[in-house]
Amino acid sequence: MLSFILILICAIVFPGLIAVTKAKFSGRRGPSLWQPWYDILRLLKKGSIFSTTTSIIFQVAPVINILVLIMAALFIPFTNKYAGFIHFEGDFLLFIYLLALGKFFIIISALDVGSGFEGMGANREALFSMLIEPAFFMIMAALVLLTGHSSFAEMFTTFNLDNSSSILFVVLSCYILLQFSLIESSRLPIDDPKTHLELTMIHEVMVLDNSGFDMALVGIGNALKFSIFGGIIANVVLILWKLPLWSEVLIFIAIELIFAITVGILESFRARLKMIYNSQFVLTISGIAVVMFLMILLLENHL
Amino acid sequence: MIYTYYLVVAIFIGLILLLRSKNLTHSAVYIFNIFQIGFVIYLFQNLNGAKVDYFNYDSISVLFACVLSVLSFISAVHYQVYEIHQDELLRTVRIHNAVYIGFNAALMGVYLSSRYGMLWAFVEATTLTGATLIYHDRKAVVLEAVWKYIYACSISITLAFVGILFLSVAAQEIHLNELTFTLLKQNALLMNPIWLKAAFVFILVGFSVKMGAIPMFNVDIDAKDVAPSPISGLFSSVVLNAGFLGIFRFYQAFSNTSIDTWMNHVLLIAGISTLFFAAAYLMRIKNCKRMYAYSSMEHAGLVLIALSLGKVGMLAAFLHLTYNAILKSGIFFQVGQMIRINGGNKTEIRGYFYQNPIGGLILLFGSIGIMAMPPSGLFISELMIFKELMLQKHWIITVLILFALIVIFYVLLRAIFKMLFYPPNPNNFSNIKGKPVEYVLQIFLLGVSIYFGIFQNQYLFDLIQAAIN
Amino acid sequence: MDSLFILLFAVSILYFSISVNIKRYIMLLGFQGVLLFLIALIGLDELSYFNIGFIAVETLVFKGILIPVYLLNIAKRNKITNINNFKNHRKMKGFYLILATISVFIITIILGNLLKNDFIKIKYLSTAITAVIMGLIFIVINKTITIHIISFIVIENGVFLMALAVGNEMPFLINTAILLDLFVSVLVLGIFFNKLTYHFQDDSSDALSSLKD
Repeated sequence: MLSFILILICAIVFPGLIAVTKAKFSGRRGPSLWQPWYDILRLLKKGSIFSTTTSIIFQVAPVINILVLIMAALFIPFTNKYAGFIHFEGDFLLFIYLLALGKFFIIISALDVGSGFEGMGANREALFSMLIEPAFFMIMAALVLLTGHSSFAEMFTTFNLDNSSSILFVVLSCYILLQFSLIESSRLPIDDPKTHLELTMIHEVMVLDNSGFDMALVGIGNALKFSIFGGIIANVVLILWKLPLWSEVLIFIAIELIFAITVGILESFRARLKMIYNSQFVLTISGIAVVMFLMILLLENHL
Repeated sequence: MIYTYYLVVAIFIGLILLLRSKNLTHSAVYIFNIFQIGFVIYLFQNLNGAKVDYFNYDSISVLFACVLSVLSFISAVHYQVYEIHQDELLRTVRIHNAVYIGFNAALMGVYLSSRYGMLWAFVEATTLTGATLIYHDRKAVVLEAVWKYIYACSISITLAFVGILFLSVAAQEIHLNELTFTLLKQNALLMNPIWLKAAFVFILVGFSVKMGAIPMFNVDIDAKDVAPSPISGLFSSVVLNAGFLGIFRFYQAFSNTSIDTWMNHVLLIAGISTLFFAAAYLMRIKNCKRMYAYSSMEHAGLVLIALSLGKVGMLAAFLHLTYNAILKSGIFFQVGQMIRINGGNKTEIRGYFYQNPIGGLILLFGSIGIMAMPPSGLFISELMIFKELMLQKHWIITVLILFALIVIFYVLLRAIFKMLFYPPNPNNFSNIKGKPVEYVLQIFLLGVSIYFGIFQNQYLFDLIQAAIN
Repeated sequence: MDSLFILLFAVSILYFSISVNIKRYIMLLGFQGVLLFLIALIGLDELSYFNIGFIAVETLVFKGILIPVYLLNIAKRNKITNINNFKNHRKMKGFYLILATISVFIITIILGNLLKNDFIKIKYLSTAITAVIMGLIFIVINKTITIHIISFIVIENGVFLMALAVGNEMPFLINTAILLDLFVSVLVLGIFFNKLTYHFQDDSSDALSSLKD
């Protein structure tokens, strides 16, 4: 329960922090830290407009998305002290498929609108999600190999740094998780959230027709998604030490904030890749994850 | 004594690089060749008696070394005639002659080495010196061929090294620390066959570029096309022997193990496909040097087929290699003369017999010999190959090989008649005559081949049998 | 510790598949040279110090520094920057090459584990074979001479890694692999590649097609 509360708290700060970081690195004063929440609160008070070409899917999708994200956040444990709210054997599979379910509903709601732009965005989003999926599975598979359990909570409880493959795993998985979160949340270098050219948008164009309350839900969902991945990264990093509870809470929040700032820095200094190179880039991340998994497999002599 | 040989090589290379006259460099090469022939006579007297660790004087090593020394001398004479006609710069001739001695030394190292790693290193040296020898005329086409040759050879030799690494893994399993051929043969039955099979495939592919066989034959053909004809002659004979030796050492070491039948099948497949590719490419050739280069490829294929047939096959393979070396280099030397007399034209030579009767006759008899008609020595070795094929009841393979050979026969004969007996091409008329020393040496080579074809020399057979058993 | 370096070696092969810029290729080659230096220092512990020192210096100096510097000079002299013109971007070679690299890696690991040899370490062998096979694929797919050279050096790095795997028992093999490297770098690159780029200003290998039947 503790990690869920922490994730919700960090989700409040996330989008604002990324925007402020980007602004500061561009030499601007930037918006206030709570600006995204002012926007979301304003949108929450409005009503939604639904096009006549859409069906029930369009009305339901943002709600499903946010529900799925809240449910996924319940799985994240808090280092090796507390398990997540829900935990059982193989729960990481449910976790990743919940995220996929949310994304699936957003994709089909985009197709539901009937406009060419949303269809294009849905197409690309589906491809990149498919190509990045092996990365997360490989990280989880490596964790299962190293610890012998298949539940989030037990994995993080029994993970220890006694062999060299663990250090290898921690170092590489942080990098892969960082890229994975960037790709899943459709940020640079895959997709520029600030671009308004429909031909180059991916995620923004899928939610182009959502308005009012639904748009607010989408915004909250984005913040939550980032925070969830930040939580996983913080867990992976916090395995390295065994500290008392209060310092671990502080470090958890600190790692999430540093994650936000890192994303902001990365976005400031990177340009958007050419669309043709996107799939190549995503596949490279998956490739690195596969190679890491095979190397750990070899080191543990499990073949 | 072998170290004395290499010391002399170094001295001669240094000497040639300092000399100031072309004729003096040629004389230095001749003196070196005479020394090399003396060295081979010493080897003949000390057969199987090497006192040094890295080299052994096996019978086939000595046989190949003998072929090398004789052909190298004759090729040097032809090269002098070639460069006098082209009127080359001193720098070109100096570099060429110095590298020529290095080339001889590298080949001698390949023949005489007793470890696999050394054999491989000397083959690498052969590539590098050979590429410098090919790059004699300074034209763009020649640069392209040299680049392709050196590139593809380097990659193939790297693949052969991968094969040697697999062999060393198999050897390390039984705690063998050196890849000496005798040690390999003694411990052959203890090694893991999977590593050996992998090693054999890589070694076959790697050394096939030197042999001019499948799968890396293209660069060899290009190299023989653009090189000066004396060097092409050497490439078709002694370098083919060097490539074959790389494959043969492996086959000999492991010929009594469980992978024997498998190796035979692989060699048969490689040989037959080489033969078919040679036959297919030959049907469209208009360039006489490329034609004879593809003919070398055909003989490389026949040698691989011979190797797959067992003990009798090995004897046939070595005889085929020796006779092929003598005949093919003779033909290439004559082709060089022919091109010179025709003003550098390689594709439209007609009526050579009327320009130069003796040369035409040499070319005619040489080509008839290379097509394995009696009385050339190649007839004997091919007869042995076919007899062994039929004794082992490979009927379909015999039919296929005969078919390919008929195609090659037809193409070569048609080309010969075109080149020799058609009405002469008026563009090619020139007053250049052949030098008598060339004729003498080429007739000597033809004569040796005919002698070996008619009187089968028991000493040669015994020499080869001693090495095989 | 050497498993990290071998993993980085495999990852560099992945980055080779997606590179477009010549400078990136050359930096990756230098990176591979440095990795081989580190692997040689850590993995070979049964050889004499002189031998290890010689191998280490050779990998660092030749593969890590000299060859990349030389190739950079050639690229600068001939003004070669990108290996493709922009028409080739549509073929998405990088995507399929990454798939090929990963599949080759998986297959070699599976095959290597079927052999169950105690003397050779699978991680060395499978990464090395991946490097060799991917080098051959790069040569076949690309049509520029500079990439042919770079892919050949990748093949050589793979073979050197394989030699390191068996090198504890037979140091002679590693020395022979270094010999190959020296010969090829000095003679092939130094002499013939120089002449080639001097004569043929165009980098594409279509210029080398005048030899036909």
